[in-house]
Amino acid sequence: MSKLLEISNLSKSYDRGPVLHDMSLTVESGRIVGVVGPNGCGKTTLFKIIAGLIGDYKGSVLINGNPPGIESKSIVSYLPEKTYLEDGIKAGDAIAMFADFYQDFDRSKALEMLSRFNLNAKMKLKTMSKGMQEKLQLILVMSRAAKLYLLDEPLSGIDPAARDSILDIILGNYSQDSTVMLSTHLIYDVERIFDDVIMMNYGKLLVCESADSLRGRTGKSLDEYFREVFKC
Amino acid sequence: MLGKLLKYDMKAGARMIPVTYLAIAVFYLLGLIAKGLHINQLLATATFLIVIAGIAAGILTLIYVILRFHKGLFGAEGYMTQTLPVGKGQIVLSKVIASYVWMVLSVVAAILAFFALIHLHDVKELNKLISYIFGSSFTPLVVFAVSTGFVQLIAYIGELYFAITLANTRPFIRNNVLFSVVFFFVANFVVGLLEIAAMLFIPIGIRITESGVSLTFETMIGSLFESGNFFNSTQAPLSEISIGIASGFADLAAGIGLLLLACWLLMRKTSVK
Repeated sequence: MSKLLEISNLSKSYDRGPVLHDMSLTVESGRIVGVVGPNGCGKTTLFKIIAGLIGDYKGSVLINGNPPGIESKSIVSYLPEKTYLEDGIKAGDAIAMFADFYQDFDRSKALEMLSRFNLNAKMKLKTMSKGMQEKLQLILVMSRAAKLYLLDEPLSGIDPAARDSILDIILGNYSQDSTVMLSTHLIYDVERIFDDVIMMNYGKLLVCESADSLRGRTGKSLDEYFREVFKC
Repeated sequence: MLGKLLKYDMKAGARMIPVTYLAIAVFYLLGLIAKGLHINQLLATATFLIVIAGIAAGILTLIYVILRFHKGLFGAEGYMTQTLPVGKGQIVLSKVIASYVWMVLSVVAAILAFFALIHLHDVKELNKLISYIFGSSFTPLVVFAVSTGFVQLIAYIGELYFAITLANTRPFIRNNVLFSVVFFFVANFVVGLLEIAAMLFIPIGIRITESGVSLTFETMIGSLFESGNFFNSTQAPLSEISIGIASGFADLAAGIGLLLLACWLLMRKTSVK
């Protein structure tokens, strides 16, 4: 295993105050990493910095040795929590667009997943339910042979039945030498798939260790530990 | 990669703008039929519709230029655009080229609509009036005005993109729409001043005489003083004035400068909402 992501002394502030505060962590390749924490703890900001959407941060971020930029974007596959496709785009056209822009995009894999999850290639995004839109975007993201997948809250707003199929897409399509970073606050549903856990609160890193080690150290499941730490 | 970006930017314009060009053509055809059959009411309607379609072409093009840039970079679509493995300069350049092409096409459509109206109504008087004002020099002046206009479009795109980008930096992002409008007018005013200064004070111009057009290396302001009509330049014979052409260079430089500033802000000072 090699270091895929190295973050040193990362800080980022918005008008309302600091969102990330002097954060340092390392993520190795070939891992599924759960990024957990309460709403507003900085998970999305962290992902946006790694994805290259935010440039005005302090500290150092290296993805496979490169700061966020053209090189890193070619190996990072990012699923934001927002719908980022045009309303009027058809599923098939979105696949064609990804195939145009990403050399590592597997069009046949995307089309196969589309039919497996009962999505019609001619269907427009605006006519799809939220769950269908999430599935389509996840199919696009997971059809790339990326080194790092950043999945920001892929399960939020999704009914429990659809959650399983979304997890199936994730687990069935990432390769063993790539890393998946998945942010969520629905830990119970996904903790079984995590190799490592990054726990954040108010921009600070609370935990960055393997899931098994955390369970062994605390004698609790990740969900139980999360509820204990963030109890109101 | 620029070609691929351009393909999608052009496609986005093609979904909304060309319908107005088609409308101009259809209403012109309707006008021709009305003119042939001497149905004045229908001719008046066709005239009105050509004007409306021409205006719609301009408005839709402007909406396309603004929204494609704003939504594509700072709205939800920015999550995709800005995570593509391409430089932000290429993303902006693609939008500039697509915007410029659609703007030029819309200007051409508007000019054609204008000629269609002249043709439908046989406005010979208008031609006479133009000839009276400019004499035999009408054609080179039109060529000069049109080519300056096409260069001005670049400055115009630069002003729009710079204003939108600056309004999406941290101090202004909460009221980004309002600040986009304010910054656009400020940029437009400053570029306008630069344009006038360059036209008056940079010693390069054209002089239009009976024998044709010649390049001169004197300032426009100097020629106005020499003609003795500085405070009433419209009274000066056209042949005595060196018409400054450096305004075009100023537009080009301002447009490129503003676009480079927008790129820099995009890379260093903006975030997707």
